[in-house]
Amino acid sequence: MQGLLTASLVVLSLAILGCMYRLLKGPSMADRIVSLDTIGIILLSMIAVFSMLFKTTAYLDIILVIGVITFIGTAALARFIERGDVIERGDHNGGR
Amino acid sequence: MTLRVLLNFPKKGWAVVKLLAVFLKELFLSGITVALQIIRPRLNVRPGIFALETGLKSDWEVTLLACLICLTPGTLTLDVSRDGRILYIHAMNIEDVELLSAQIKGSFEKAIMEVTR
Amino acid sequence: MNAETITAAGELLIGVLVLTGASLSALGAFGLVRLPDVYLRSHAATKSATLGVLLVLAGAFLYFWLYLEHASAKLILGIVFVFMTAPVAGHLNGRAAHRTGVSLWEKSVRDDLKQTVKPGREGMNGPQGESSGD
Repeated sequence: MQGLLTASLVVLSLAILGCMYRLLKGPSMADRIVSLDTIGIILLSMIAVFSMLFKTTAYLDIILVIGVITFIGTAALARFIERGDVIERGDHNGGR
Repeated sequence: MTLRVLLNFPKKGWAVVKLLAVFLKELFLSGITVALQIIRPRLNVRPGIFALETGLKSDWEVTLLACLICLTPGTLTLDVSRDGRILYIHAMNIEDVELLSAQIKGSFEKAIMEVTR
Repeated sequence: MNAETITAAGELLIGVLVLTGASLSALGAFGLVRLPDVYLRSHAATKSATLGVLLVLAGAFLYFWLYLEHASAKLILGIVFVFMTAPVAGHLNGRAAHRTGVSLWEKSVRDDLKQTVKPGREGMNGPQGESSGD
């Protein structure tokens, strides 16, 4: 059990390394957003594995928080590269 | 009115369960298919974007269909036309558009319609 | 003796589940490195990685439920949330990529969306010739 969990931590770290490559290299902005999203999701599963290793339920809140923040961040970034503005104001002609 | 809703409830509940089962099955199939496609040494995919005309009406149904399409093997909804009738789908293997759209219409639209109507 | 064997076997099973999920996530990341354009990479990220995370979280839920006597509603909530938001994130990102003019892989077969793409959000009175970039 311990060995398997440690092995999966190593595998997940390698996955984050692959995402980092795409994050640094990615030719377009959308590539970087995809890899950031994937890094967030992999981080979430790493924390699940950690809390299993330490036999504690204290980290389970962090899973939810990271999930929410990753999704909000992806949505906001995608909107930003699409329109040039995250929050549109009515009176001000932001973006275009 | 209330009686009708109550009488209708078991059927609706069963339809929701069936839709969830379809969701789960498609997620597993698509994850495995895409993973196999990735580890293949020579990448022989023919990607492309095709338009799918849907028969669903309300926003809620179209949203559900778009989410479901994102989970099928090798398809991803890219855009929806203004009136919500045409979905633009990026597919990994596009050799048989007719078959793909027939599959989507046959399984997903039917399951969604059972829930919402 | 017997109960111990069952406990050990269950732990082993959960460990294998978690390791499978981790490997699927790693495959998704590998696809992110390998595949040629944004849309295909987005396929890998939304599908393989999501399935991997679902397997890991399901393994964690089973472990806490069976061995620590703690049926965690937070983990179920996390599973549902990831399951719902992954396709939406993929869709948003793909749409943003296509609207900002990220080109498809050169071996792509067809592009039905290209003719109907519009220059801006406000100009929606039908297609106005070719899109003027940004």
